[in-house]
Amino acid sequence: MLLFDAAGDLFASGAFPYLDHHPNDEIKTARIVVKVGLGNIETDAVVDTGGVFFICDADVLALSGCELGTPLEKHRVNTRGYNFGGNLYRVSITLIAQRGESLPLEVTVFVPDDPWPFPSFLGLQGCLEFVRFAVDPGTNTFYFGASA
Amino acid sequence: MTVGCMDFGSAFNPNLGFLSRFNVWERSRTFRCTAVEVEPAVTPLSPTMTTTVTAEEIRPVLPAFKRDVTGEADPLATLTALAEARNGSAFAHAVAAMAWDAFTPGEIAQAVRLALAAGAFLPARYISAEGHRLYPEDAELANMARILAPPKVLGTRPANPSAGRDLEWLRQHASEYRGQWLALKDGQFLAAASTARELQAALPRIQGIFVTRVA
Repeated sequence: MLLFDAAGDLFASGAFPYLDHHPNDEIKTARIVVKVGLGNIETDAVVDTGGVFFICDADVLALSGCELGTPLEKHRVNTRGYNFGGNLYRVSITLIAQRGESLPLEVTVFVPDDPWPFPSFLGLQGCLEFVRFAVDPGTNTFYFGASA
Repeated sequence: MTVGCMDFGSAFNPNLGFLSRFNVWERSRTFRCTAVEVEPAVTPLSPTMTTTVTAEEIRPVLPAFKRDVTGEADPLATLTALAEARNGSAFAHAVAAMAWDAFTPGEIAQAVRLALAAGAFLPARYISAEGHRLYPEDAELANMARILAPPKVLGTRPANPSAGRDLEWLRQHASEYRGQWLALKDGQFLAAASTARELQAALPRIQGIFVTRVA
């Protein structure tokens, strides 16, 4: 069952059964962990509406085979109390649906210089800002779709 | 060009040109900041007053912010000070008041970097787009505008009815593979390795494989 608005129009075109904490997190902090397509591979990513850009480890991107092009260099991102230096690129990712339709997006990705000790993050600005999404914590379902 | 809401609670706003050199207080820190010096074209506001300025009100003032009247050796001095203070709010106000056609492509590119340093991501997008519009032949500005452009939806792709199986496997078994890179497919374990390169070498092909690192 996907989501419809009051007029009966489709609100979300895709749905995915998210994990409500990341398996790396032993204290099980509440998260929304979804699956994204990235070049040749798929990987896990945490929805982070307080963050910016898609943040992804350089090794994951290397495995994906994505062509990154010329970076916007030496940017710094503050997240989770840490300050990371890295580069910005443009990349295509796909929010993977188990029901409905998956949603390919072209986004800004931040690639830290040093190994990224966290999962990939789907930030709001530069990544999810024009995506409709909704969460059903009763069924652990992440709904998403293109904004009208 | 955009016009924002005056917010003296967070920082300063040079739009109206009634401040020249002043202190800015932000999150309990005080720092000295240099602003452009222009004629006070609009009646100064009380520091406690908050108001919204319309485009019609602000437009006559804007030409005064061209670099040749700033009196500063560095036309980006104000933005530099705000970036160093990581004051994204004040940075955004300053950006909105700039007449970017008075700046060189190199200066605009530097302003984009300053915006990113200030954590002013929307202004960074705005400056890069303006720079690319003004100097479409400049490769650096074109690349900045491309990278910082709003995200785009590229259509749709079919769903995968078994897409959730890999994360479910991870939920159940990740603790057995601490510090390892893992490869899964449709909820089936394929390989584990201590580095991404070793993982790739252990797989006949990587296409469509779910990959993650367990911390």
